[in-house]
Amino acid sequence: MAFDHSAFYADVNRLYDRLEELHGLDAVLDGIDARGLDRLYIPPTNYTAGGPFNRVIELGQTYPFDKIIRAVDVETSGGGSYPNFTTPTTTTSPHDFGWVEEAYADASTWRLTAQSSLGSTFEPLLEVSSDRFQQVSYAIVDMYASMDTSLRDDWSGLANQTSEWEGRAADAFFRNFQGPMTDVIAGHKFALDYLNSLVCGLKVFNDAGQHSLHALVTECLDIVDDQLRKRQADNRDASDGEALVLLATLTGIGAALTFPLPGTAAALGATSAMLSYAASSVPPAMAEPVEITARSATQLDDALGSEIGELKRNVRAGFDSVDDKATEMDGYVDELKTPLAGSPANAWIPIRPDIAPGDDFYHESRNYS
Amino acid sequence: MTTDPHSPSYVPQYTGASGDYGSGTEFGGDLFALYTAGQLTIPATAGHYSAAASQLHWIVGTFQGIASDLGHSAGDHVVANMQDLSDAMRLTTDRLYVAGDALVEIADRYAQTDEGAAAEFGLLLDLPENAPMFENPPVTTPPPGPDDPIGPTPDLPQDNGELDDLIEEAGLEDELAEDEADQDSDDSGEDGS
Repeated sequence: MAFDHSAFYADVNRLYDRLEELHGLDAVLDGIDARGLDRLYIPPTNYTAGGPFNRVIELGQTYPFDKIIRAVDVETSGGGSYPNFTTPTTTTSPHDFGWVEEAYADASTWRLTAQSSLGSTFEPLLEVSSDRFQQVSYAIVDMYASMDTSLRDDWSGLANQTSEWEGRAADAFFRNFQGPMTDVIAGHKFALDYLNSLVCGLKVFNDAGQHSLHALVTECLDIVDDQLRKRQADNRDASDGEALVLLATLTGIGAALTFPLPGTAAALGATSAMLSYAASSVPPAMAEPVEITARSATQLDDALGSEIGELKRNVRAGFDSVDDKATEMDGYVDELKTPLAGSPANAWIPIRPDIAPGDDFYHESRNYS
Repeated sequence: MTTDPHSPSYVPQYTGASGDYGSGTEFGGDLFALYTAGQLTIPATAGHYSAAASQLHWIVGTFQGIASDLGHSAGDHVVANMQDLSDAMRLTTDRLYVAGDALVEIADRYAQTDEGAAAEFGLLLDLPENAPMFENPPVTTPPPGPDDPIGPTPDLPQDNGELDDLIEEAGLEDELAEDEADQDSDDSGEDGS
């Protein structure tokens, strides 16, 4: 399936929903730990986990769970202390839990900044949709096919007239204009063929970059999901995942892209295959597995940003390799522009015909009239 | 009937104009050949080239937008290569029209100088198998200039299936397959196997 911008952005939003949740959740868990609130008061009798000295706090949204924490700070009169006390409390002061709401608010603030920053990082990869390249390629192939079937250089047997006409202008016209026209048409078709391969090449790396990007986001979704599950199980260990990400340049993908050579058949016969390559996923030949490990929202966000930066470098390297092929095309076109041996004509632009009624262009019958 | 050689109802006329460029019926026959190429087949080729140049103009304009959004020099390089080809096709179109006009002028001018040639030329133009061809000569259609608007999107294949049909109808896939087969044959010959 072609890269789906809507689905991608939906996944990015979902990822950052989860990261925000994890960020807030971990801040609350850290706060509980820092304040020693996980050290519960256990009265000798009438133990009720929920109170009056302890409370149940609901944590998590995706994988919700309850955690029992100490709700009050207790001063005891003589004997007894945490974790047990045998003397009824003399004073209690409810613990201030305002920091919990602050932790979630901080997580929201963090999320906005982090997601915005990541968007700035990946947006350049999404500027050009795949179908724009495809449309240009279709137009080139359509144009080539039209030229192939409609262009004629024999012009009703004009080539057979070369021996009938004499004079400097006639010789020049048939030798330097009519004759080389075959080469000019072939040269232009070759150039079109090559341009099509260049367009397909840019599309391949553009597509592979976009699919790699989505694969990274999907991988991070799996990781954050695992982290949230771990929290439910009171586990703060790291989670890891793997995604296939673009690595190769043109030399690494071999025959996937066909570039024509002068004098050979049209490479654009393989256009459909070239346009399909990397169109729906990153081909294994272009990619390598990338592992991400994280134990917190910030770690995962940092890792994702770092991998996207690497991905952008890889996409640029792919574009560089296509640019190298464009330079090769320059060389081929320069050869087409080079005059043919002993002639002012070349295979790129026909000479301006210099013929007019006159003594430089006459019929052979003048010789025997 | 008219003496305007570019008109569909043109009839060559001997006027006794000065100049000795040839004589006789063979001369007339070859004037007809020049005139056919200049009035019909070269302008038809020029028209196809102009249409191709127009489509390339659309391609260049469209890809300029892609290159701008891509943000990499490779896109700009491809645009430059496209523009180079576009300029070449524009010039080719122009020179084809110039060549066609010149041949028409030569055929008409030379017919004016030789009575036998004019008669033969006119006879051939008037033949039932030839006359219909000249009733609707190709109209000169200059290609768009580099700064002209790119125009509407051409009629293109809608998907890879239609693209494959187009390639098959043009016989392009077969050409590539034959080329690859030839290459494989050459390679196995080199191996000595």
